Amino acid sequence: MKIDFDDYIDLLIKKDNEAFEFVYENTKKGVFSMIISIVKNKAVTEDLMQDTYIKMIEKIHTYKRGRNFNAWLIQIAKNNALDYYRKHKRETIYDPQEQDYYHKDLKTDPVTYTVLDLVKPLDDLEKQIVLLRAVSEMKFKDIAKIVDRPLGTVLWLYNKAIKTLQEYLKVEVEK
Amino acid sequence: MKRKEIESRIKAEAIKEIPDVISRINLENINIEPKKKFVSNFNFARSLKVALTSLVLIFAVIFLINHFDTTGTSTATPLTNDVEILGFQIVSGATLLAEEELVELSNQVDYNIESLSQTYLSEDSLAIEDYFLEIDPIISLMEKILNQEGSANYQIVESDKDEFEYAINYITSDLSKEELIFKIYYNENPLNGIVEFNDMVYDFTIENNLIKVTNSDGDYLTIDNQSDTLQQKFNFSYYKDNSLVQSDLIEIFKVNQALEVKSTSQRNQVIIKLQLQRKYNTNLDELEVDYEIITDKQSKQGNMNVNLEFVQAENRYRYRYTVSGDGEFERPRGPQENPGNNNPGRFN
Repeated sequence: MKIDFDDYIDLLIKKDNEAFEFVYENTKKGVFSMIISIVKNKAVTEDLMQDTYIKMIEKIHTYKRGRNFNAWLIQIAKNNALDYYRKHKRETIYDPQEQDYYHKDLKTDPVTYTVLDLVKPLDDLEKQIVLLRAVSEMKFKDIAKIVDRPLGTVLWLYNKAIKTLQEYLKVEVEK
Repeated sequence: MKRKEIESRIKAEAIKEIPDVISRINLENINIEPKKKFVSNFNFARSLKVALTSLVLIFAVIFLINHFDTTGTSTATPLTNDVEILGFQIVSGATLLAEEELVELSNQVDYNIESLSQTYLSEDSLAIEDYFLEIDPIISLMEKILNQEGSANYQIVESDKDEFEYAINYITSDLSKEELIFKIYYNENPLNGIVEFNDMVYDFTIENNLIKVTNSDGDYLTIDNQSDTLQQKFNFSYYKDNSLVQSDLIEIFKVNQALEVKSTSQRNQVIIKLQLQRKYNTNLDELEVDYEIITDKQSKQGNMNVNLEFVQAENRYRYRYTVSGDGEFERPRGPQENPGNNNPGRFN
């Protein structure tokens, strides 16, 4: 059944814990998917998830009722993660062995998520699309708005990413 | 491994790993930012000036429309035979299905949190930029179909697929004058086939004059040819999960040996009307567009030019919308944004 988050806005404004828990439980998959597509580290992801829900409450008045609450929240998560990435950009170093960039602080704490191993061959945008679709079951048109690309591009990238994963996971199974 | 299996595996793994941060959040410690109030900047002199200028422009436009209506329009229908009509419908259907899947018009979301707090004044006005997500697919479609100076360009070729008896290559060119080929393969009994464009493949069937183009998710678009001897028009209806989501009426005219298209899209309570013509230039072509957006409470009309703009650093094209009275806007071009190949570009 489709959830109408607008029914919970007034309760969130009143800081109702039950309403907050309900919104959290029904949106955390999308928020988590968006953040780990940009930031790979577990500790940072947890901080950014916490920060996203705090900002959701702080900025609840900027949400316009009748619009897509889930997409609005995921955009907060995306902005948070990108802000973090930009702030720490200068401190990233390239690891030629891993062929990836790491934040200096995170180099000593490379704890990351297993799900990211499953989507390893994808670039960041493809990861975003695949995770939002597979984990959060978002509609492609909503994903298109979040990643600010035409729907056709998103569909094309998704199909391409699935083909890449089919090959990648086939090889992984054979190993 | 099938797509569903991959999705299930990713989902199962992710759900196991989602951290529980709710216990770290104390609602009582959060300060909710106060609601922004609407501030009016009404300037009587400026409004009067705009109104008078608009009046003069309206009279000028009415005069020009009346003048050109009697001199420019030809009653000849632009698509002249069954192959052209079939090709037009299937190519348009496949393009719309790929490009558009008809985005929710009335569910506009302003995602930029910073601008939300800064531009709260726009609540009571209809801003064209709120509807670009819905206009983009039509522009992309028009790039492909508004390119014949007279008749459609197609080749009947030998089918190179065993499962299909016939093949037609439907050839168009985009605003950058790049040639695009849609390959249509079909059988006659029953009348069905596929259309290939880049890596995209769509099935189509034809029954009782109704064409149905279906994507891999099972969502589909039907095309009803409602043409008569004087007017060619096609009604495109998009179905998601077997429910009608949006309809588009596309009418084609021939004006001074060039095609002109009127598109009327409707979804929920929002109607977007576009009238488009292609302007041929030496280098990159452009589209001249009259638009009208109608919601249940407001409406807005005007005109704009859509140009291609090459972004050297990213090796891709993007659209530049120059909207009369509203300024210029950059928009992504979609799957054919890279010159020399048909793959989408990458984000920064």
